[in-house]
Amino acid sequence: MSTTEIITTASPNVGLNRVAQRRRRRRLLVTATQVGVVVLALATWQVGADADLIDTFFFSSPAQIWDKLVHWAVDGTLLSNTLVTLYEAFLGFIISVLLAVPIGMYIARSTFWDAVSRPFIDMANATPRFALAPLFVIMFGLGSMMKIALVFTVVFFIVLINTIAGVKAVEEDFVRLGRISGATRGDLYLKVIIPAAGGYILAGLRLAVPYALAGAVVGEMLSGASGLGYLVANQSGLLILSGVYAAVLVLALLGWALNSLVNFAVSKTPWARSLKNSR
Amino acid sequence: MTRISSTTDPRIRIESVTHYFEDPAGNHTEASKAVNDVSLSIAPGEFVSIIGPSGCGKTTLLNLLAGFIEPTEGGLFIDDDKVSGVQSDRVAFMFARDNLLPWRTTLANVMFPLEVGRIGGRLNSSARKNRAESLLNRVGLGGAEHKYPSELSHGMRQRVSLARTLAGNRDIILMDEPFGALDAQTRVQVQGEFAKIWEQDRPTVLMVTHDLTEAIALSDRIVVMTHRPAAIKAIYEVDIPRPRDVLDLPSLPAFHELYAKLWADLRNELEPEKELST
Repeated sequence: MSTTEIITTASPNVGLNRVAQRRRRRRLLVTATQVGVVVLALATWQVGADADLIDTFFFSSPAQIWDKLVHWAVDGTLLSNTLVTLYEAFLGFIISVLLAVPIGMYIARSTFWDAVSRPFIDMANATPRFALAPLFVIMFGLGSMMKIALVFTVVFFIVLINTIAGVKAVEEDFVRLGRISGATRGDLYLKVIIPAAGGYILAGLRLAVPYALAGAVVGEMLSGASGLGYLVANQSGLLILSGVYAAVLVLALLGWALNSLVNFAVSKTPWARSLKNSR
Repeated sequence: MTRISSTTDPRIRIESVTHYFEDPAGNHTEASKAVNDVSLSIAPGEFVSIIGPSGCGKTTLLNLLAGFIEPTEGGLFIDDDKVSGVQSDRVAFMFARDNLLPWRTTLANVMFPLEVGRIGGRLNSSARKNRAESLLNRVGLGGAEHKYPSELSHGMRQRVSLARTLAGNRDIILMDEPFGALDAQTRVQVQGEFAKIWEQDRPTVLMVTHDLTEAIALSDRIVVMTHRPAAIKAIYEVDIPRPRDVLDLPSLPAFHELYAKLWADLRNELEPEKELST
């Protein structure tokens, strides 16, 4: 190997290392600043509360919220209620997706059913579905079923509308390629339409996650005696606002964790990579 | 590939085909008429090009032959069988632009017709892979198997599309402006490669193009269409011996003569369109 070859193969690596190093340092700085902002905010809040500048009846304090969380963690309240909310949101979400994706695909590929269903879907989507909660209490009682129904009504239409939009956006030439290659109906859906509409459908799922959580929480606030939404309603009823803050904090962390989970799952789908490249 | 014995029976027969698209009210009007009384026969192993003003209905003719749409009047026949439904057993279709599936690698794109088609269904997965790899080598893309379409240049993508069109082993190929999106240099290169493949396999080809040089370089016959609704205005035999070199063509008097005729015919067709738009 000649010297010039060594230089040309070595120098890009050195450049890459420098870029990687700079990027790493930058990421560290961002994280450090984020931590700093949180620490500063919490410290101001706590100091203000201790100095009676902040009314702890309304605004609580980090120490009070922390005490509440520790108390709940120790006596099992935290875990059992979190699991209830997760179960309702998750089950409602899964049922919605399993129904909305195939139905959406069928509607999008059928000009007749697309035309028939459009006003109904638009109207259902425009209706604030949380308004149905009292109805579901009467229909399904105080248990989990009522919350799952509420999650379903919210998530189903989000996923349905995104699926329809995604399938309609599939290029007709992709479908024609499938047909001229002799694809069966099943092949056409599995190998052309689903992967081509995948980006839209996954975007719909991502969008629906916080709504699933909200559906479960609203249901719990209205009826029943378990779940994080119940904790929020119960604590505010007792005027223990540190408990409300603690429950909301757990909900925020839960929503964030679910969102990360869905993003991770999406990044593992076979066509995520190529979709990113093509858009 | 099945060799076709020299016979006078045409491979493709288009008989008095007229096609209307439905306007939004569902009616057939003169304005929605795309193809007007077209009759054409194509012999086995013949390469025929269609040229005409853009939007005149050339692609509609290909879509009719592929069976994507049914003609309003008249009939289309392949090997004397009336075209009805998508002709996946007989016809390969090369789409305008490359139409590669962006979520599939190069290799997986070429394997697509083998995975879903009836011919491919009989191959096991390693045989499919071997066939796709050898086709990629044939179009000069060995080594790019695991790249995604977004990582390829336009020329490379069009070569992948060509390999995919050949994968199903059909001996009728319909091409819709297959090289139209390429820059001039790449186009000449890919045209040359396709000409070589055609001379080896001798499939029956019907190609829509707007490039007169391309039509002359590749075809046995050139069909000139009128402005919309498309009717046949003239048919020219290309009397230039094969193999032809796209770059050498301009030095041939026969090329210039034909080019001038084609251009004169086309120009007459462009003018009425202008009048309509003003």
